[in-house]
This record gives sequence, structure tokens and C-alpha cells, in this order.
Amino acid sequence: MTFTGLPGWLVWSLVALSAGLLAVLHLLRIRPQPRTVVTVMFWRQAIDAAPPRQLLQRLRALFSYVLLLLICASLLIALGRPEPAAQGGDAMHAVLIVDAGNAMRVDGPSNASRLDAARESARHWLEALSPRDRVALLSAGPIPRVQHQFTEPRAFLDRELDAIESSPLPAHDEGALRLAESMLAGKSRPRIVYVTGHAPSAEVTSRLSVPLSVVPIGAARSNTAILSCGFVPSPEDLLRGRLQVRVAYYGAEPGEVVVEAWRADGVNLMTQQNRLDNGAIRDFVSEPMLANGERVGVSARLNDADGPADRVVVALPLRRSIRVQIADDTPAPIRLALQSDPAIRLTPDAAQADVRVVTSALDATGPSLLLREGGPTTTEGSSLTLANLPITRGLDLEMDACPAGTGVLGNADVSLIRCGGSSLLNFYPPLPASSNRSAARPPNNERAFATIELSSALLSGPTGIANRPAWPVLISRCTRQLAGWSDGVVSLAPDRAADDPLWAGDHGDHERASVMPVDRISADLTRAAIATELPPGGGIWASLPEWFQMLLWIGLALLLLDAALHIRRRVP
Amino acid sequence: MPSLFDDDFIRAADSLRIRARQVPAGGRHGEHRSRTLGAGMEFRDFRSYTPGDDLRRVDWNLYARSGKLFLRLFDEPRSLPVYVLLDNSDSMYFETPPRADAAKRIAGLFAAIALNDFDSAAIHPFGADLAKPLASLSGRQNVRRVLGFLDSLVPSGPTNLVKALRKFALTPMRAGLLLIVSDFFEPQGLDAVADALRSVRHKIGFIQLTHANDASPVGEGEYRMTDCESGASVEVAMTPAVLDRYRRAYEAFNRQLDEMAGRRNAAHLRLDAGKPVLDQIGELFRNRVFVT
Repeated sequence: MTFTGLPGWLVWSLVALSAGLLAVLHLLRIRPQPRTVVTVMFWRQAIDAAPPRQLLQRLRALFSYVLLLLICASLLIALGRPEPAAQGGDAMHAVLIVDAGNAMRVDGPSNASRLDAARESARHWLEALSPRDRVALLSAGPIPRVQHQFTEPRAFLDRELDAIESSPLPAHDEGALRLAESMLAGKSRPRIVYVTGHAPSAEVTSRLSVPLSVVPIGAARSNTAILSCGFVPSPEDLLRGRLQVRVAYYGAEPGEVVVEAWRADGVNLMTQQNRLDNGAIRDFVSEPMLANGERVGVSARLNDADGPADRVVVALPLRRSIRVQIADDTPAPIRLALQSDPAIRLTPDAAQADVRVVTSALDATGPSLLLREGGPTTTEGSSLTLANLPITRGLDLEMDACPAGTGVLGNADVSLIRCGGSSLLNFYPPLPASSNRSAARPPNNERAFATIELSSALLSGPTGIANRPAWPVLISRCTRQLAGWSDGVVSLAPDRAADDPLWAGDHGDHERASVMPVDRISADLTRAAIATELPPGGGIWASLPEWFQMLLWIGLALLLLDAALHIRRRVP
Repeated sequence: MPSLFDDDFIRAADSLRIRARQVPAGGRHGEHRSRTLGAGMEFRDFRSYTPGDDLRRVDWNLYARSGKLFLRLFDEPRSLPVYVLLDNSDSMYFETPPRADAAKRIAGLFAAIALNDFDSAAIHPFGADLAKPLASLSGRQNVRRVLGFLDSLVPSGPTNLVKALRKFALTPMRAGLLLIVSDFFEPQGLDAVADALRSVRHKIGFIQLTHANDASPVGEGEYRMTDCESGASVEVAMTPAVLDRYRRAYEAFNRQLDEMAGRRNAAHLRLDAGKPVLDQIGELFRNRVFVT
């Protein structure tokens, strides 16, 4: 056993000496004070008239002594923090990891953040250690960081802990745990203590070779978060579409989630309520609205007033008619196909055009539909197949037994379109999903703008492809793609720095969200399974409430004062 | 050691008197009126002449008027011996200030008054036994001698008032006024004192010397009380209940002493030994006269 680092024999000698000293003090205290009087006559009468109390007085004196011993023992234990010798008396080496990820920004019930609570929990744990233990401090943000190397527990607490700040990105548990493990290599009695608002995955923790204690911070709360916002164009009118809000919910019980959207002038665009199960993700979709580029506020909240809310501001896509510049000699199938699309407006002005129909690559000064004269054609009897591309998907344009000379078209989304072994016609450059007029450098440096090549042979010839109902749809799709339009959901980047609702809410219309993003919901669900053991080596004193500690100190001070006064009376 | 008796004390004694309602027969000429009609200076009555009476006492004016012989009668002043049985035991010297100082002062006061009034005074100190007394003295000129004797007294052992009284009672002396000056903390108890007083034929006066702590002892906690004379001890926890019982015992003691004085028709004065004696004797001396 160790006691303030002293060997056992010395400790027991001190204990015996202390007990003896206390016994002497106690005996001095309870001994009657001598007093000489003129006569004891009246005192005898006073005592004779009283019932005998000797036994009670002796018991009281004994109880007083025992109480004195207990108080002194408690204080000695508090000061000395005795510990049984373990592993030859080696000191414990621990790495204390404090979660500094964005989840620690969540406000707790007292408006302090989880990180504040983590600091306090870390301090409490450090105070329970013995002076011989050594502790290193890590902060677990997206990149784990060593705050302090191994040192005596009480050496560095406040400053280093206060220096830890939460990151807008999630904590990298595995990185922090691996780093801690490496720091503990070769150390005696290694241990990792992770103070966090979530549980590291079992997959990560199971691979550790060092004992791990997880100290959970924060209580699980029902909450909801906006995972993403999107604009879903209406199939019949790409100038209009619906606002899609993808929301996740976490809670011990299913909860009512209310999603609202409103325009900048406060006009309500959407109010929907749905009951979601724990961990559920659901899309809330509004009525069709114009893609007019305006900013729209979106919020997701729980139906009970106390629940935290998530709020974002997104900008709707700005869509207008696609201006397509055609020439007088633009073939009729092309012209008619373009005219059939209400989203397309033909214009002779090339400067204002979004898309141009050209016959020469040299005229492609912007996104262009290039009608190539000639081009690869099919051989007799070959089949025309179209790759399963977004612009060709679902279109009935395939043919078997193409007559010779059938033109083909290519799309750079897929590397090859083959028809009877003919070569490929590529797009330059590959078109991104979102509207993007920036041009990538083509491999042959010939074209700098998005271009779809059409063989003019498709417009003539015996296939009659241009007469098929799918033909104007193909042309419309090509044009829309060149204009940067997408039939699919347009992702609306919320106006916040990171796709994480826990990002500090001091940007524009945001609030500080007290919600958990979906990637942590599963972790929250396992919160109940988190081990809550405290590390060994703590003193008994630390487990006592502070008010009780104060009472013991006061009690000892009073007892010593009382003993001193009794001694003084006996010493002239 | 400075004297307990200063000039102011002696002057105070000059102005005080002792008057006895009843003066015992016999004795010398003194200042007290006795029952006997004698040849004193104060006219009291007439009586018829009988043969053999002193013709110098015949009132010739009355004879001239009445033709009959009458004698003038005057009060016969007699002396009142004052005996002071002074407690000189160890307990009287224990405290600060010692009760013995007040006892000696009151004893000296009464002795001086008696001597100033042409009475006799004697001091009989006692402790474990009657000590050597200062035998009866008369005359003003012996006042200082008495006071000097009192100044010279030293403690004479533990208290035994009973023994002292019994011995005093056996001592042949003229009946007079016996003043018992003591704290009356007789180990044998007041009953034994009362029993011993039965054999005393003098008029009695009790002068009880007290201290403030007698009635209300001060202290807290556990004590071992040791008697300053006998060395007997008793352990006491000075709780409020014990203190209350103590006070009741002390009050019972005082009541018993009062009753004892009442039965003997004796004066009873309680003197606080911590205060000046002369300031406390007003109870005894009305119009500067102590009537016994």
C-alpha cells in the first residue's frame, strides 16, 4: 500500500502515532478539570440527587473518541490517497481524449455546450487521479491533436482544457484512438479515456489493445436536421419545380416533424408535418414553384415547442427559356424539334444565345449542337443502338437492320457508341450534371465548349429517325443538357459553411442548431450501451460530495480547537 | 502585612452601639440598662422608705410636700460581654479575597463597639478546635490590642464548629452576646451545630461570611471538585441540571441557618466577603444601634 508515496511500514507507524496522539488529546479533553473549592458539601448533594450517568458519560466519551478517529482518518485518506500496490506499484499512464468535433457544439440544458461539459468531466476525472499517475491530453477533431504530453495530472488542467475548441467538422474517432494507442506504447498501466458526445463505433474500439473508457457527455435529445435541399424540376415545365427538403429525425420515441419553407418576404411556401420513427429520413416536397432564383428559408423542427430546430436558407435555381440560335439553313427536323419544346426560344442573335446550332466546329463559340455533314454511318444491315444515357434514356430510336449510311450520334458521358463497328463521336467536354458553361480543354484542343455532334445523315436517309416521336425529345434533351439544365433534382447548397447542421449559427439567417446530423444518429442510438466506468486510482475523498468534505474539515478544526482549549486549561 | 483595620474603621466603630434588650444579671457596671433598679444616673421611679435604705437617696422635696419619706430610684447600668467565636479554619483563607479578612473585620468591629461602650470583648478563634483566645478586655484603650490580635491570626486547621461550640459552652464565663463569625460550612452539618448550640447559654448572633460563587458557581464541563480542607473530591459535570440542584442545596442550607437563628431569636447577618464590611452592616445597626 502506498500513502503519499511513503512506504507501508512508515505509513503504519504514522497511523499508530497519530492514533496515540489522538488518544492522548481525547483523554485530556474528557478528563475532569481539577478545581479546589471551599466545600464539596453542596456538590455532593447535587450529584446525589441526580440519577447515575456514569455509563452514559463513558459511552459518550468513547463515541467522541471514535468520531474523532473517523474524522482524522477521513482527512488522512483524502490527503494521502492510499492505493493498493498494483503491478509492482507502477504509475498509470492515461491518454485523455476530449471530443472536439462539431457534435460538441450542441447546447445542453443549461445553455452550456457539450464541450464545456466535457471539459468539466475531464477536470473531475483528472482530480480523482493520484499524483503518481501520468496523463496526456488529446483533442479529437477532424484531425486529432496532442494538447499536452504526459505529465502529472494536476499540472496543466485549466489552460490546456480551455484551449480545446470544437471544430465545424466531425471528430475523427479512429484517428484519435490510434494516436492515443501509439502514445501509450511501452507505458505502464496504459489506459484511454474518451470524453465524447457519442460512442465510437465498435469496429474501431474492438481493434484497440489498450483499455478504453468512454465518458458520455450530454443527454440524448429528440431532434431533427435538414440533410439536404433540392429543386425537383417539373417534367412538363422545367421552369417550375418543387422544393424537396430531406429531413432526418432522432428520438427515443417517434416524433412529429414540421417542415416549413417561406420566401424572403415571409410568404409561406410549405408547411408539412410528418411522424417519423427514430433514424428515419424523409423528403418533404412542396407545391410547384417557379425556378426564379429567389432565396427561400427552410426549417425543420419538432412539433413540441422545446425541441431544437434546424434552419437553412437556399437559393432556388434561376431558370428561363433556353435561347437557341439557329441559322436559316438549320434543317427542319432540328428546327421543328426545337420549337416543340416550350422551354426553348429560338433566336437569331448569337450573342444572346444559350445554345447554338452550328454546322461547323469553328462556329461553336458557346455550347453548340453541331450538325456534322457526313460523319460515320452505318453499314448495311447493322443495328443502331443508343447507349443508356440520360439524354437517350427511354427514347425509342433504336433500329435493327439499319440501311447503309445511317448517321450516329455520340455522347461523351459514355465512351463509345457503336453501330456496326463505326467509330465514336465524342462530346467535348464531358458535361457536368449542373448547369455549367465553363469549357474544359478537349484532348485535341479543337473545341472549348460543350458540344453535341449530330450526323446530318440522321436527318435524312431511309431510317426516318427524325420522324419518330422520340426525335424532338432527343433534340430537346440535347439542347437542355447543353444549356446546363437537368431533369433531375438540382441540389441546393444551403447557405452555410458546411453540410452539417451543427455549424455555428452566426451566418445570416441561421440559428445554432442543436441537432445531430444523420451520420451521428446511429451513434446516438447506441448511447445507452456506452461503458461508463471510471478509471482506477481515484481517492475516496473525490467521491465525497463537496459539502461533506467541507463538513469534515470544519469538524476536525473544531475538534482540534476543543482539544487545545482543554489542554490549555490544564496548563497554567 | 498591612492591618485590616484603618483609622476610618476605628472611627466607624466609635459611632456604633450595641443595645441588649435583656442584660444578664451580675456583672460589672456598664452601659446597658438592666432590670435592676440601682444607683445609676438616670431617674426612673420612687418608692417608700424602708428602714435601712440609704438616706442620701431620700427625696427631701417630696418629704417637705407630703411629709412622707420616699426614695429616688435610678437605672443600674450593667456591662454586656461580647464574645466573638471567630472561624479561623483553612477554608476561611482559601479564596481571594479570603473570607477571614471580612470575618476579622466584623469581629474587630463588634469588639471595638463593645469596648467603646464600656463592655468587655473577647475573641475566640477556632479551627479544628478552639484556639488560644484573646481573653475579655475592657475599656477603649484595648481596642487596638484586639485589632492587633485579629491581624496576627493565621489559619488553624479544618473547620470544626461543633467542637468549638461545645468547648466554648463548657468554658465558665459571664452570659453575654456570642457572635459566631463563620461560613458555617461545618462538615458535620448544621444539625450538629444546632445541637451544640443548645448548651450555649449566651445570646447568639450569626454572622455568615459568603462569597458570590457560593450561590452561583461558574464553569462548564467536567470537574473534579476537591475540598480545600479535607481533600475529599467529587467529580461533577456542570450541567444546567447539576447547577440547579447545587443552588437548591445551597438555598436549603441558608434556610436551615435562618431557622436555626430564628429558634434562638438570634440576629443573622450575611456578609459578602468580597465587599466592604462597613457597607453591609446597615441591616444590623438601625440608627447605628445593634439591638440584640
